[in-house]
Amino acid sequence: MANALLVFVVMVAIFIVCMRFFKMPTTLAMTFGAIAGAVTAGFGVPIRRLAEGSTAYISFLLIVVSAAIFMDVLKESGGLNILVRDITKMFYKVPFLLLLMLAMVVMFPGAITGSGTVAVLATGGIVGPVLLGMGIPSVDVAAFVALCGVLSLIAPPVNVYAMVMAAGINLPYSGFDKPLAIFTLIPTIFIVLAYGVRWIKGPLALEKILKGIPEVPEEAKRAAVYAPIAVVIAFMVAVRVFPHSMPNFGMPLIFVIGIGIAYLCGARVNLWKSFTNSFDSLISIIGIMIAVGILVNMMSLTGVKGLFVTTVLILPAFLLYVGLFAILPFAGTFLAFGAAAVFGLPYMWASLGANPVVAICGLTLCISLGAMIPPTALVGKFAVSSVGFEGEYSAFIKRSGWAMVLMNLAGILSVYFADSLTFLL
Amino acid sequence: MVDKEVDRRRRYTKATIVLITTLVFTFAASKLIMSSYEVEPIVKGPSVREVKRLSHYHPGIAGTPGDTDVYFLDSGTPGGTALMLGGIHATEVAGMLTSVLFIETAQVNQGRLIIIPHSNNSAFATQPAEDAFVPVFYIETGWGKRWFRLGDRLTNPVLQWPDPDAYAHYPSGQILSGSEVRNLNRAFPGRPDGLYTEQVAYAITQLIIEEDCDLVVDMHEASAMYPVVNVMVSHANAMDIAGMAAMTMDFEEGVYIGVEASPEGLRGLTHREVGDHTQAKVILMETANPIMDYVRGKATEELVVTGKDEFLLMAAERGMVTIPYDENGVPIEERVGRHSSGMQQILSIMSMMYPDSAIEVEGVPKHAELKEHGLGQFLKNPSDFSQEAL
Repeated sequence: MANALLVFVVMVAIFIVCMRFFKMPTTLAMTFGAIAGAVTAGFGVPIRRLAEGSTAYISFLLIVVSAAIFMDVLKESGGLNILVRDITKMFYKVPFLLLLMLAMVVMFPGAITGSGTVAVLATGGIVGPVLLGMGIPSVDVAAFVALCGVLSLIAPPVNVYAMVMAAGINLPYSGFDKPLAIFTLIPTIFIVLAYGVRWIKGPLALEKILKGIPEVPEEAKRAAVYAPIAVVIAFMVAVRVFPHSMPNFGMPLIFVIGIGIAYLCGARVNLWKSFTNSFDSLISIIGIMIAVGILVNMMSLTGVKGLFVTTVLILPAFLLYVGLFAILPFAGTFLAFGAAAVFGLPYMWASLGANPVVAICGLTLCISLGAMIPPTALVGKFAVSSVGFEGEYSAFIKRSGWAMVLMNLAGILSVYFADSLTFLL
Repeated sequence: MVDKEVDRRRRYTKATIVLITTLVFTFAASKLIMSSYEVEPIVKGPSVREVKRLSHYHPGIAGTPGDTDVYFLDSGTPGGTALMLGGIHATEVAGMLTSVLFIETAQVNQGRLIIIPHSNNSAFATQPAEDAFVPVFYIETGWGKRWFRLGDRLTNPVLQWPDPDAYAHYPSGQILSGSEVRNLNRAFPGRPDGLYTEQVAYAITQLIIEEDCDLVVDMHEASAMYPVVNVMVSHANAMDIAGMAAMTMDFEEGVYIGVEASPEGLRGLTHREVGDHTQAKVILMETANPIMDYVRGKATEELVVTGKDEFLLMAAERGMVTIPYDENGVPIEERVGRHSSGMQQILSIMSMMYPDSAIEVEGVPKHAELKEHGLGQFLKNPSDFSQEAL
């Protein structure tokens, strides 16, 4: 244990030295910290582990990149503007309903793919301008989109965290839809009220909202937006509905098909520019995800991961829940879906007395918050950029923080009182 | 104009550097990837009469890295047929090692024993990207070290990618997390035109049907914190055999092993689907393998072989580990010994209860012998044998 602790201290120290004194980017500082840890643990510079860890998020990054290009093409083709205008015209008379609809629009892609990043990337650019046009400050708009993106991670039918934990305790992934829907809907209503409705004073002025949304290019047709989005959604749904007859193209290819259709249906788009724009905006995230993969692999190699898990799980009962409250969101940051296996499974194995379905739902609520916490903060960062919030990320976190703490608390309390919450099933 | 030219040159330089770096890494990686497909040599023991490829039962997987050797240990005397499955999960090495031990040492006196040591062969050529597993480990023997491969729980993604968001098991439609689509033990009974893992499962199911297997024993390992460890999980059609075998193992050898019924709602596993879709009785055995725990320290070769870990010990002291665990760890002899004894007790009980399906095996060390002498003592030296004997 002392050895693993020393390795962890060295990792952190080298990370700080690289950042502070050598002014390295976070990506490089994390990588050097990870390497220093491996050297301290007696593994030398493990090239294989570096290469291996760097590939951990490749599938995920392909989805992110293809989704970002898809949205950029949709935006440039003018289709996005048509969609935003149509949604606004349809629901502007009942602001609460409009906000709830927009929350659902954000959550839908995440609910069927299990990826909050896809949800935010695919819809942030659509929902953001409407919310801004309703008079909601940009920081609240970013928080609204990001928190809905986080909730899309746990929304049924695809909650990957729950699937991982259920499989780990030999529990079929069935009977989760209703409790997960409740775990998603209640926070959604609070988000709609706290970040949306509170800013609405009186009836909404349709013209004012539409004015804030860019004009539709003349050559853009309605098909420009509805065809590619419809095709992308149709593929996502078809894979789920006909899993044994529909080939699984994978999200990246589905988005590429969407790009092709958007290109053909909309105004002429400079595809090369869309590719380079998307890569420019994503390159730091790609770097961070590669570095995180390396860091986690080194933590597994050196026993630092075990140090964290053991330290939390051997705490006395009350402190265990305090520890889970403190660490689960951060585990979600670094381990993404892996956090469900690394922390969730040992907890579930150690406490099989509690109602496992409710406990899993609660744990997923806590872990999903990691998607907003730096350094990775994928959902948070994409939400911020997609809605055009130009302030510091810290200001965004400060605004979203209270909701995150409440959601984390609700998650932990659900785990603690799992046996008393069986009426949710 | 000059600035544009300089900028253009810089971009070309950067692109050239990226291209060269990519080529160098691709060349290095290709060598590593090709070497990872090398399978450890196995010596054909006294009863091995034939070695077929799994693709014999489903040509769809022929010529792919998932195709694998199937060993036929035949007494020539009428009796039953049992299939031993090792390496359905390539991280769970005790099952693969027990298979090798049987192939190299078993003398089959009645009936047939069919053994697949690397059931999900492609999984032995890959590893999870964030668990830092060692690619190979070594067993000390009287003549030196013998190497074996440690792989991944899932099929190599090179053969089956991308994973869907959610995996719907065929034919039940039960939903599991997307990555489970590459889990061979969630793919049974399989499909001839399905995804790669489903095709491997289909090949094994076809083997069971075509070879008229009476019994299938699937050998696994799990985290020491996992509640279903040191257990036989049995389909309803084999509960009588599993129950008696577990009791006999406890009484005769002092090795306790629990018995659980295969849950009807958990689909895709051997102990559920093979029992439902074929004539064979099915039992799955689990031992503990601490490298699979999240509560564990350094990922080393020693951990794979000795099962000793300081973090796991701390968890055990607080009652969080489901098996007896102390500073001696869970050595490979303990784990292979459990599978070996379990397998032999199952065969013995089946022969007693169903004389028409009797299978008599001798010469394979059991739990006590393995603990006393070590696993390496019973493994052959492949370099002592000709290529035909491997």
